[in-house]
Amino acid sequence: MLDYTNWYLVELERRLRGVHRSDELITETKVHLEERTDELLRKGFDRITASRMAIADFGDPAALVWSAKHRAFPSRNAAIGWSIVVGLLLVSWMPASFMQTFGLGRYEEAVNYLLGPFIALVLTLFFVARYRVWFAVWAMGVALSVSLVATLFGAATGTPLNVPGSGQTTFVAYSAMPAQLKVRERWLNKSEGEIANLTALLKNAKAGKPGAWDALVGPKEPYFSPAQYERYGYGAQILPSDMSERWPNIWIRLGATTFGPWGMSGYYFRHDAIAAWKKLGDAYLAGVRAHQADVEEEIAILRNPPEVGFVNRFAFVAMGIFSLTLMLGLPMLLMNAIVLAIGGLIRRGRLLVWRKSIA
Amino acid sequence: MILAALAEAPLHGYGIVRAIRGRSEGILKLGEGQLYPILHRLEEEGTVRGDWEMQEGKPPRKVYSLTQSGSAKLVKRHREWKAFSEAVGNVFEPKKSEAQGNA
Repeated sequence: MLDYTNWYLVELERRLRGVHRSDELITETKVHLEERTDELLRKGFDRITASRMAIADFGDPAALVWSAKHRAFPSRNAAIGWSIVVGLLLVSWMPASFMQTFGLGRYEEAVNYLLGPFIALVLTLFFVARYRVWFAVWAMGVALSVSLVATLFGAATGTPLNVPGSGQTTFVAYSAMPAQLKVRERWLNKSEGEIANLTALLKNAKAGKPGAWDALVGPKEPYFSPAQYERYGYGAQILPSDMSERWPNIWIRLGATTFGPWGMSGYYFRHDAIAAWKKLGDAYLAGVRAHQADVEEEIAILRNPPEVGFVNRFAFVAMGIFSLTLMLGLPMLLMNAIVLAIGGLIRRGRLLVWRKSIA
Repeated sequence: MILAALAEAPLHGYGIVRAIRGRSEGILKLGEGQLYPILHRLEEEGTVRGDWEMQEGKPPRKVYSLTQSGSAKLVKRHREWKAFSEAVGNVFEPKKSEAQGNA
């Protein structure tokens, strides 16, 4: 005799493989189907009919499986909570950007940048644990793996990855973190001769000699060479970006560092802005002159370069991992939220089946 | 409705289905397969509590009962539904005074 109940349970078990609390679901389904079948038998139906009716009432296993897989985002509170998390993820870079813009922890930017993602990560994990959004764990895992590979690749080869597409700048910048450290170290360890040359240029500029400012910060860009651009791509901009942090126009500075919450797109913007400023000529030079003290400070830093220690190295790598995790994970999390929210609505609509019209 | 079914006594999944069907005189029928994921969610939310009950010669079944927060939620939902159903009722069967007033 064909055992429909058993067939249904086997099918359900197959489809529920790996789903959270699937064992419980199967046990409860079994009890449910047996009780319903017994009830129908008592009403006089034969076993096969009773079994088929019980299964028909229980419903399509696909619907149950879908429901079990997507049940983590059903309530309004969970939806609101999840939206808040996604919102926090989006703005998490802002405090770090502002901190850096206003010069806080200038040579500890890695730590600043870590703050936002760290908070976001803790909140995400909290919601994942609270609402069992397992798909989100998967998304985070994929994103984390990709970013880890990219970061390790960058660290091992010192070569930024060039990934075509809109995320290129960010991807390159973060994957190139160790390369940037190398550039920075090279720059900070400039020879006495180079520093003496810069100092002389500054002296000339202060004295008002024609073309001196231009030589110092203008078209020749003494802070980085075309070869460095060739070698390190956007990563090389970290150093000149640091040097140009003290731009006279605070709004451009803000725009540069906060433009695109993922941080490094700001450097791309800044690069364009530098080019534009060069074209402005006098206005640019006047701006730099107004911030003469900052230029002097930069040269003082060159004379006594800060240490790029293990903590900062580690923080840079961790920052790359975190940021790419969020960058890649965020769209998945958003999609996840949308799918689950729609799923919740559909399921609610399907919960009640009107057997006959009340009217 | 699930919470209302559990208000009188703890029930297992099929018991809930029967209670709703019985109380609505067969008009309402739960999507039975959908019930269990919902019960699990309510359990994780802390709205209901599930306890396994051993049965002789049969697999154990899980009996669900309302928690304190579940009871509070039920009262709130019941109040909302009452207000809604009364409003709909008034639309279909306007009170005499209102009907005369409008006429």
